[in-house]
Amino acid sequence: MTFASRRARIYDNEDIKKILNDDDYELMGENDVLPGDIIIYYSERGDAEHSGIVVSKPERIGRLFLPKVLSKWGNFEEVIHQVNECPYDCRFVKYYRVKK
Amino acid sequence: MKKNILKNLDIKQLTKYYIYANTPPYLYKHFRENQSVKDLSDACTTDELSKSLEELARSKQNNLEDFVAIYAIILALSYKPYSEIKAVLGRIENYEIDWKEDLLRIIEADSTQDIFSTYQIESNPESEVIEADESDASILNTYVVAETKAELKEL
Repeated sequence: MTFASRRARIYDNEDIKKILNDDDYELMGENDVLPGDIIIYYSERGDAEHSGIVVSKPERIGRLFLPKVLSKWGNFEEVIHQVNECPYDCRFVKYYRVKK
Repeated sequence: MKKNILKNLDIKQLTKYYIYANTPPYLYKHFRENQSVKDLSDACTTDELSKSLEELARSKQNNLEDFVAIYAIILALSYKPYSEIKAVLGRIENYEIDWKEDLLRIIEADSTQDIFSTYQIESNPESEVIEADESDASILNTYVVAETKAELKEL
């Protein structure tokens, strides 16, 4: 849902790296996240497991910055959820923004 | 037979993982972490798992539970020695199973890693005791067993 104009499911880690590189995505600090940025959930091994589009400016809760995200949960629905309220490991998330 | 060996699978939880999986590594990780998949592997021989897998893969899978069971069996097989399952996994390439190539690649990669991490070095009573200095560390990390200091240097 996040890439390829919502028309394809891209699940290969190498393909995702290539898209981020070819489309000039820039890694964002969590304090700078804005709606429209994308989020990628990585596993401990560094595999991209899930992705989504940020739809709200992060809300600061304690030491955490928690934006709301729109993402497609596998074969399930598209869901708007807080970054940590989903079945994916949110310990290693990274945010990206297209530079152009 | 199918129902017997699969009766203890945690189908409810595994179905959630299957539905939420966006990538093969996610499916692999969560199915492997599920105790019922490990129990299935412990309770069945490679042959039993293989027969059930092929039986399910050949049939027209009409329900979600069958899809989930197929992945559960593949991941249960992944606990077996790779030499035992290589041929079985090779045969599933004939069936239409989403992400099969990716899962097979992960299983193969992890199995190879296991071989190295469980490698046992047996002592040889005739070998001389050698001391390795810091410059030998990188050589030692390659898991090569040298019997003498001279042999170690040659490596």
